[in-house]
Amino acid sequence: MASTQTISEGNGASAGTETASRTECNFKRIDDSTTAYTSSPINSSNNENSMTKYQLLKFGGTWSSLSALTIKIDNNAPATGLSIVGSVVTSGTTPATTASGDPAMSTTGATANFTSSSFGYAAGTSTSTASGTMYTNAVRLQLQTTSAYAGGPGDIVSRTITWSWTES
Amino acid sequence: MSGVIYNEASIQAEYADGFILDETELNDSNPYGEGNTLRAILDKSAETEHGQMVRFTLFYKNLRYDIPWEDTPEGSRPIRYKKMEMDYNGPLSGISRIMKVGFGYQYNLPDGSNKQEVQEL
Repeated sequence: MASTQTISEGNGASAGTETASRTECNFKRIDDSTTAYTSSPINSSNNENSMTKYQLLKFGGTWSSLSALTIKIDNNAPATGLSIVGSVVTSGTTPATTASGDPAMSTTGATANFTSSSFGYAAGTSTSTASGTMYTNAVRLQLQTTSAYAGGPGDIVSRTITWSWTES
Repeated sequence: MSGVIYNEASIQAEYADGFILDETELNDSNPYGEGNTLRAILDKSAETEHGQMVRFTLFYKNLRYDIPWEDTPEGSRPIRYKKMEMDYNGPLSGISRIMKVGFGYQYNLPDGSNKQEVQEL
């Protein structure tokens, strides 16, 4: 079986409500895991930011050890006037559209830890030998826009987020 | 190997009486406790009943890699790790993939330091 992986998202107060098995990370102006991003768009003409988005990796299955976890994005500045900021966090704050204060999301790999068998936020450890279920630190992402963005209404180019780890 | 399809980067251990722990056959479970098949091998769980491990094998990219365990230094411990990646929001979204596999063993030198003999594939 080896290990299995799914993405969980944290919404609501302190980003503490889990929605499991997420299949997208679309930026939008509402904090939930249900509203289509097309129904809550971000207006660059108004220099708007997306809601901050908290997502983390959840391991299941079997392993002897998990270690060396990192997360990165392939492009954190997809166009003039568009910035994707983010960082690995050890606590959750209620998602908001105010600037998160995070730097440009790492394109080389930000280190993350393994936390607990339950959804939540904690410092965690760099290696886990526990089996069954294991959550990781969350990554907090936000799309920030300015009026310099020349693209018209509609989707921006999709970006790829990559989680990496070592398992034995 | 004909007629048998081994899971990619899976391992197998053979013991003195011919008993085999095979990760594919066990669906990577540990028949002796928690964790995976490698955990069972590292814990030497089968050795009480079946004798010492005599072979440690990796199956990867249609090749088989054997380590005759009698050829390793006394006290050696098996190594098999997988460097993994998973994309999210891309064409391979949600599918983890093996980037590198490490296979070999480690042991302690007389001064107590750790020595690893690992081939990264």
